[in-house]
Amino acid sequence: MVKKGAKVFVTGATGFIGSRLVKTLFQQYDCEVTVLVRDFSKLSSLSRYPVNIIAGGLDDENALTEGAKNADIVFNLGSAMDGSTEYFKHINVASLGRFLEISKQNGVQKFVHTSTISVYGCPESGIINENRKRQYGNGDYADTKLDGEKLVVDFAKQNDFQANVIQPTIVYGPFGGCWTVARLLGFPRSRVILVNGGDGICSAIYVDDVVNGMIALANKDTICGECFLVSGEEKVTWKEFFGYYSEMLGGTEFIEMSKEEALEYYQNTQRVPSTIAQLKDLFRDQELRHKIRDLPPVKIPYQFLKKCLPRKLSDSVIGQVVDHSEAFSVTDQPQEVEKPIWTLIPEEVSFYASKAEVSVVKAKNTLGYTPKYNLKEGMEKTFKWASWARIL
Amino acid sequence: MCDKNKALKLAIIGCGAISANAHIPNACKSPLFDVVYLVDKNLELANSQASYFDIPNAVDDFQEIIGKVDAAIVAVPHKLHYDLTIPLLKSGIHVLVEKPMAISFNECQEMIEVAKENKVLLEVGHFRRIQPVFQLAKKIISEQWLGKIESFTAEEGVVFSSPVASAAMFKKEQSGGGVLLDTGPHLLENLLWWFGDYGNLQYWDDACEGVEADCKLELTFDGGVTGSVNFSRLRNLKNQVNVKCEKGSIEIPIGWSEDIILKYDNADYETKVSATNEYTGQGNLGYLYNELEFFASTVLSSDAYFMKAEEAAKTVRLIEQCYANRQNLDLEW
Repeated sequence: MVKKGAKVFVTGATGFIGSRLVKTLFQQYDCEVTVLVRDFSKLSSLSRYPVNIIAGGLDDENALTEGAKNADIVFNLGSAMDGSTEYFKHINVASLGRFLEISKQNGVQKFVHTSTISVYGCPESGIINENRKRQYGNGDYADTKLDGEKLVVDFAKQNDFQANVIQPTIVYGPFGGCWTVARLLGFPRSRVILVNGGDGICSAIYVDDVVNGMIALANKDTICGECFLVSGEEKVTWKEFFGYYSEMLGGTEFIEMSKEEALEYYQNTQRVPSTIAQLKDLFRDQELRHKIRDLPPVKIPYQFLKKCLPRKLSDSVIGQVVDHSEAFSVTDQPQEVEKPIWTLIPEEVSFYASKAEVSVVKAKNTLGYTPKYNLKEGMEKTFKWASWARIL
Repeated sequence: MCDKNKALKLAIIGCGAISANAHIPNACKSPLFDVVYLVDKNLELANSQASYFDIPNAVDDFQEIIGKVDAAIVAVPHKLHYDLTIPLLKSGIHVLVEKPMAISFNECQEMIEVAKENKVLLEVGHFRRIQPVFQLAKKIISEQWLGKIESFTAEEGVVFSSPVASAAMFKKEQSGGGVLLDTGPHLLENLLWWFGDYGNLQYWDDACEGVEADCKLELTFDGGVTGSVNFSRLRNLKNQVNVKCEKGSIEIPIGWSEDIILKYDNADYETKVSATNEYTGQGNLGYLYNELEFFASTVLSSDAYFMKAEEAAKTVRLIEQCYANRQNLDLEW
């Protein structure tokens, strides 16, 4: 039971959801929290609380044993996020298997494993609930998370061990990486594609609701080997979700594309660019343009033209000789450079086009899970944080 | 590779990030030092650094250096500054201790007394004192280029991601505090240097029994100057001091520029004044090298102080009072 004095071991605690979980375990439940940390430089937020720190990674059996032997409850949020396929398998599957065994051997009562909605692939429509067929082929992360949750389910059932899986959807909120900070930093620098006008379904969930779902799962007795989706309850579109960030930023350049157009745009970006196009890209770098302009074979005629011809004429001639586009200009006139389009890979295009809706009925009925924050409330909190964090 | 025929035999105690990235390479480079010992409780770390920099001895107990070196750099977790510095000073070893000098004013005073009794030098790593931009700021403020000083705002913070060798700085029992005690000493020392001693203070931070990652001070200095200071490990702040004066304002950059901007009230122009020296452009590494040179020169000639330990102690007193008067900075996140 997550309650005062409960001993809790958290992996992935320096991450977005993990650090929020630790904060809640301290502030709302007064738990004794131990965290597994691989990179000490990420401890700033966690160290505000009196956490016990164990140094190590998810493949460090000694560190996992040290954490598990003093824990009633394990929240496993750690995961490989990048690296080779082999590394993903090593961390998200093989090491997870050992962690389950170590936890069971050391008397852990509850094991909450964090997976992802990505294990369901990207259905075009319909309802996504826990009975829906999982799909491979969504990248190393999603595929190994799928293997991982299967491992948890099988281990739990075979060993009568209360290990269960939580499957968060699109998690946003303070300190949120992919769905908050990356958007707030990236949108001002990009033109953002809204696939099908942004009418796909965004199953957004405020980070505190994920944490509440995880705690509700840890507090539920007598279930083992079950998966639970947690998401917000509103039907939200991507246009609405991204619209909140646009509003925070005072506007974003959105480009509406059909799914086909977005895919075609992606295909075009994958073609080997022509020599001229490569040169154009190269010459977008002002510093490089100036360096080239200062090379004697270019500088001498350049200076001659600048000096001898009237300004308008010299700019025009230089433009014809050296400049083949606005991005290729050697003039000192400031150029309005169009922002690049935030290219979507095909998997992302399908993801944003999907109209599948997530059902949290199982979590509601079994765990008593109820999301506390609708999108407006969650985004208001996110805005307040982003202003404080000087991201806006 | 160290040249073994240098002047001061030096031990560097603590092989964490600041030593590995600055003190060890700088001391090895300087003709004023012969680095003969590296000390760290993690002997493996000390050995690997000694091997990399070709330093003859690596040990895990600082007592082993006593009688074998002239000087020591103490760069260990804050709480150990006092514990290590006192026996070194008593053994006649000159000490450059990293900031903060210690974690309490009493400890600082004792360190100063012991240094005097044993006639050895005790300096503290407040290298901003020798940075031209901060010296220029001192001049502009003291000479009142824009008239009487009225108030200031100051903030220093980045989303912390620097490599650290251990979790010591995040553990209260080892660090003694968070961002105020770690990042704070430099800027607070600057403010005490520029504006004189302080009178009243109020302090808020976000620690919940751990160490603070974000904090705020409101200060009134004896001359009547008032201002606020923010430190953070969770957000990228302006890293700037803005001083409001009778006729305009002064913008002093912290760490990202050598240019001070003078802005005049009711004028549509501003003035940029720059301050550089031979170390400018090398980042903090250059100024830390400069600091080591000062330390060695002071030991050798005893007239090259860049800052007396008594002044560093005042910063610790200010920080101590902040913690004693702590109010909760209630952040939802």
